[in-house]
Amino acid sequence: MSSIARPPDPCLVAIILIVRSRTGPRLVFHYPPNPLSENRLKTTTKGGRRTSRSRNRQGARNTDSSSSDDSGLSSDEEDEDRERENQNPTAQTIPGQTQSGSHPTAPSLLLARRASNFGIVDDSVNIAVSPGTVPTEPPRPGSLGSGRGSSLRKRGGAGSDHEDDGASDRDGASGSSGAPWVSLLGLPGSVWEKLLSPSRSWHKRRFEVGINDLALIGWPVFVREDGTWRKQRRKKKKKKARSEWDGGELGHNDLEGAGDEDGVASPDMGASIATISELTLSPTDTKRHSTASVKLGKQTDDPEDKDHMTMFNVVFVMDPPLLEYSGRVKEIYENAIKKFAKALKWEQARTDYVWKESQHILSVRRKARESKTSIHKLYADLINQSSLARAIYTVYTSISASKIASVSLSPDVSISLQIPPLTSTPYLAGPADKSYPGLWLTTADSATPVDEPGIDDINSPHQVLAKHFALLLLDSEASIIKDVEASGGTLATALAHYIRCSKPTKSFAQISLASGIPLSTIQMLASHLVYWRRARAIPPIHQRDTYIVSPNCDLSKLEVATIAYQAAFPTLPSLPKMLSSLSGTPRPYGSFIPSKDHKETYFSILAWLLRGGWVTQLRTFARIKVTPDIKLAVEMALRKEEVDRYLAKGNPSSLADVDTDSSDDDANSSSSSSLASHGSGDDTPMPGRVDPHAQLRTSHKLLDRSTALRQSTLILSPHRASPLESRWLDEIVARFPEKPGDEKFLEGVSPDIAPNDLENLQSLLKKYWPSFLKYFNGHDALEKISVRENLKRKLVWQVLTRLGFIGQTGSVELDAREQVLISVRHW
Amino acid sequence: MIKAIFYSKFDTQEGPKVVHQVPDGAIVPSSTAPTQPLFLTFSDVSFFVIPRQELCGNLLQVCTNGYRILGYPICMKSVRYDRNEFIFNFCLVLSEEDDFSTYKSVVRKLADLMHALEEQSGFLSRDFSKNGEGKVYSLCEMLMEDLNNYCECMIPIDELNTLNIKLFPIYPSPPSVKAWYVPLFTVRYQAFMDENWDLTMQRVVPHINGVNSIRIISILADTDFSLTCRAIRHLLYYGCVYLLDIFSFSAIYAPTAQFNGSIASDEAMQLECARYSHGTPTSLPPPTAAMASANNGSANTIIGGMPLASPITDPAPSLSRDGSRFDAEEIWPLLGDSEEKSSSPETTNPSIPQGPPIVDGVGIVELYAGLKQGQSIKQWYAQHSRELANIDIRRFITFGVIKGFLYRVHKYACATGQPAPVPRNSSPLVPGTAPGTGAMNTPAHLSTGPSSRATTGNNTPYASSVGEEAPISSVVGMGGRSGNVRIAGNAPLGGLFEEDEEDGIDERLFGRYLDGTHCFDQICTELEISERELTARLKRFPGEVVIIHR
Repeated sequence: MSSIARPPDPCLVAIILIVRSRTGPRLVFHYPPNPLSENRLKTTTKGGRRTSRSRNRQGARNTDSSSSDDSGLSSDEEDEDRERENQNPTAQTIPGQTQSGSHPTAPSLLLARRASNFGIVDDSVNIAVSPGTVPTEPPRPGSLGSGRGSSLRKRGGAGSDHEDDGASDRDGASGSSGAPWVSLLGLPGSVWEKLLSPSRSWHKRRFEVGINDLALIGWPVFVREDGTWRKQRRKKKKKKARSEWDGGELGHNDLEGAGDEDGVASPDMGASIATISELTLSPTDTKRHSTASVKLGKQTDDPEDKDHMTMFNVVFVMDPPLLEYSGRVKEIYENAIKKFAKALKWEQARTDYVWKESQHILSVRRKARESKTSIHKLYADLINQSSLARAIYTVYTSISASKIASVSLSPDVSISLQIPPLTSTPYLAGPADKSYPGLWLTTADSATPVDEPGIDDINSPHQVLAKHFALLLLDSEASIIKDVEASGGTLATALAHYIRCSKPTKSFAQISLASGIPLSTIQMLASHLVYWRRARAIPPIHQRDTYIVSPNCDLSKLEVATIAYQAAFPTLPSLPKMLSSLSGTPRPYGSFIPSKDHKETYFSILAWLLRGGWVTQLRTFARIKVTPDIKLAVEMALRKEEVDRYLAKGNPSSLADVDTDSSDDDANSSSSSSLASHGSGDDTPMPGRVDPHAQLRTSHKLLDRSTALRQSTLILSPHRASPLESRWLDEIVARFPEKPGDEKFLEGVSPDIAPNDLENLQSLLKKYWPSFLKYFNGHDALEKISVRENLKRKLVWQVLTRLGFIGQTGSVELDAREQVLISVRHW
Repeated sequence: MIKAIFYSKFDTQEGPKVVHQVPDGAIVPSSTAPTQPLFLTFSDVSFFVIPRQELCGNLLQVCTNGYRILGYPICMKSVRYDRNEFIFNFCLVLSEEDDFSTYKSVVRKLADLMHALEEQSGFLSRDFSKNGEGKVYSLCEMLMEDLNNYCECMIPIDELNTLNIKLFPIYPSPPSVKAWYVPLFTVRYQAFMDENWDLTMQRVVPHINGVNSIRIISILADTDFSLTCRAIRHLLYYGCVYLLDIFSFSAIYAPTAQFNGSIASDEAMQLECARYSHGTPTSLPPPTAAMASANNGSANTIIGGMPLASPITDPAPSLSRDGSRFDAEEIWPLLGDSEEKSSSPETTNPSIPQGPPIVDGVGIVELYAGLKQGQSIKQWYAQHSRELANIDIRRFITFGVIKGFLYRVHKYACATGQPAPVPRNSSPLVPGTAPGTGAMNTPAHLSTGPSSRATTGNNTPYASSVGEEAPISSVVGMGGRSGNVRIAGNAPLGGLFEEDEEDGIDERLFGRYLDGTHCFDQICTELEISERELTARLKRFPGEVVIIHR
């Protein structure tokens, strides 16, 4: 009922770019134009991002509200223009790429779809929901308000009183022009410039300051003593070693690697471009070249050209809820801030990118001030003309909507940033917990202890996917392939090939066998797709597995989903009917399939349902129960051995081995445990674990030996059984009936088993017991056995049924001596 | 844990300057404590400790060198100061990873107090004492010591001013509560309630028993519903109550993923469960006597509708009486009588004490494991009636829900918009109507009346019959639609069902509940009908209705 991991909720308020040169720090750019006022709007209006540009700023100085509507519209158009212009196929190995060449409207649609990961994933639904950028989660009420309220404490409209001379000089910030950098979040720009340009001790470190409820986090980069932005070669080896293969960051890392190799070593631009374009298959490198030179030409005219940048700092402003502060800050810092700043640093080192772009932005601002351009127009111009401004805009809009930000700094340098979303949880929220309806509820991690013990290292950022998992695409195969191919890149062909081979019913290992793609490649490609939200690793779908309506499914989306489902499976029972039929007593999915011809369709239905979190697999977990019978037999045997040993040696030594306890018993502790029992008897039980002392007490005092012998015990981890437990297990196996079953047993078995199977069944039990044993630990689903041990499902379940798993048809006559499992089913 | 506190001010000659620091030498080098390593470089953070005027009056923090500095700079303007202004800041230094939320108010309060003191008497500007001396220094020292050691402080400053600070943990704000949630106390409220409590709270609290839904509580307590919700949320905030669901025998519960980590591997929890749910319902007082007497130990203290304030005689004393040997038998519930004698292996060995057959820890696990989707408590009970003979089923289930290894499978009705299929009851797509499993074919609640109780044998715990049904019927009574049903109890319920044909619920209103987002508990609570009545209405509904279990 507690400890629910949270999906990303970026709490992003704004992004600020500060650069420092000899003339001092400058607030070059920030997005959105009026933070916080905008966020508030998002809760109410769909198109909040755009209309909000016309929002009044905090404080008294805003005057352009009269023209807001017009300019809002015009900026809309410009946005589209910009997007269209954006669509030149940039070098991208990442399927998270949002710009697909042929459709002008595609980017936002794709974004929307990706964002609805937790819920319905279907084209028509997305169209119905919104073609724009709608935040996946409604912004939290309250915290924004409080942040705003208190961050402006004392300031109000007073900013103008203390207007910094420098700021007004530089930006011509007479209130009427409405230049947003004059005042940001209620503070004059000069204050931000001072506050956010720290001393060198923060070089490439986390820079974190807070103002009331706002947190400002950055990763400042300073110029090196020698005037360059990058250490020379020696250091590079180390850096590359550090950046081990990293999911979908492939693109980014490749580029960075390429830069390390070539960009710095030779200042000759041509060489580095050649290598990079080779790497990224960029069709636009000539164009890039020309734009670069154009820009260079332009910059030489700039009077500030003599000046040099000494630091830049991209600061993300957040308003995380107090209780989630550190987690949220860490999340965005690791996933977005650091990576973005690193990319900028690399480009800065390569082409003086940040400084040039900053000067460009400043010159556009200057011109806008002279021509008294409205702020909306100015922002549109900036985003249009400066790739850095556009990058910041993209990062802000995507990250704050929990989407993937595909940023291209220049035609051949692009990165994708995202805060990886939560894809599944084993915890079902209670009424008092915050819940995330629609989230996949499961314990099926792609890496598990029994399978590959080396992999269950949770700290590694991108786990290798377990080979017995399958890939469930979160979008239609065709559209993913289209995106992949549109994005180009080194992986595109391999990805497309793999996606065509992949099936949610087949594990990676099976696909590898069938298609001839090496397993490690499949695992790499699959985790790439998983990381970039195009797919999910699931246990392979099978008709003998059982699926239930997920207790975490989002019924509020039922109506929309029903329509989408109807469109996808027009002739079949409706979504509510399907869910309703999965609602009864759990039974294998195969029993819902009306005929063989329907099999494929019903598998696609199941995939659809799994994708949207409507259903989840009901998995079976079991433990071995040791009855008093067994214990007694072992006890007797042990005592006999003891006596024998005593007689043989004449040495009354180690009876203690046998004893389960009762060494340090005393009256005090037993009375204290009685107090404890008094307490918990009439009080409400508390969730969570009891304190370890109580547990010790109960196992050692309350259950003394004689009572322990009278009670059954569960073996918690059979593959690490204690000596006594091993004796019990031996005894259990010894008691399995030797002879094949009698006539009754023969009758009970379903007729489609070959007779020789049947004869073997008894010996099968003994044969497979050792290999099955390790799964009886309560944590590993029994459904894994057949895949892992590569056995026929039917066989596995026959053996399990004999062992006491009562789930399926209970027609078989069972032998009590074999009924040693206690099984429970959950997701 | 506060690592350091320092007082800094803007000196017109020297600029930002640390005046006092605790511990000495933590922020700037000190001649009196030369060995103390510096926590940080003051010049790195001075831009923030003594910031520009515009930032004064805001809570600021900055992280450096593994420390987090919280400060609240104050800028005071007056002709009595050099340059007409005085800027100061009292900063707390914490470890960067530590939770700082509780210290925010400390910094703010400290700044406000200092502001006031400075205004009154120039407390700060007239403090010319050296580093390590004087009132301001000792104030910082005491503050840090007291907060670190006692989480609170009361430091007298002069005859008028005292610095009172207490650290409060910050909890998440409680979720909104729904009418059909059932609160259950985690504490004995009698122990700490007093007459100063909020009046609504005082009225509400006695009706919180793990059985009454919030709706029922508001009716029983005769309190406004929204105020009742607020009272419950208040209790929730402090962790005094849990929220459960409405227990009934037609409800479905199933294990969650926490099952193996908790009850199945934790013997202490099994024992706790046995103690909590141990009960011999047959000997409990009859349901009408809601004010239960404690004649059967702890098991019925909450069931009775009125947690007992009197000391309880429960199985616990027997533990000390007999030593540890037999206590397990006192805790584990006994098996019910059965015709077949269990072949007890202990008879073969004289050294093993003989005892009556019990449901041990593993037996409890097996019972819980027997719960599953699509199977009502009633059906589960029918399969395990012998094991459950001496177990209070409601408490048994509640235990699992509280511990998080069980969840309630809620039912949702969804009108598909299709015409109703002709053979309504045989549709395999409606689990509720599937033969033998559905609530429609069998009495919706075992507890709805004497007749249904009889069907499950004499050991049916009565708890739910009082707890759930009675208040619902009284709801109806207060709703004025069925005037003859007024008092909780079994008898009038029959009358309720006869009336359901002419109840006043609008079809359209009813139809609004059939979009798949309203669970049966909600529909029943809000329409003030029983589940049986609901299913009857669903049958009559014009159009197809499917039931989804979630």
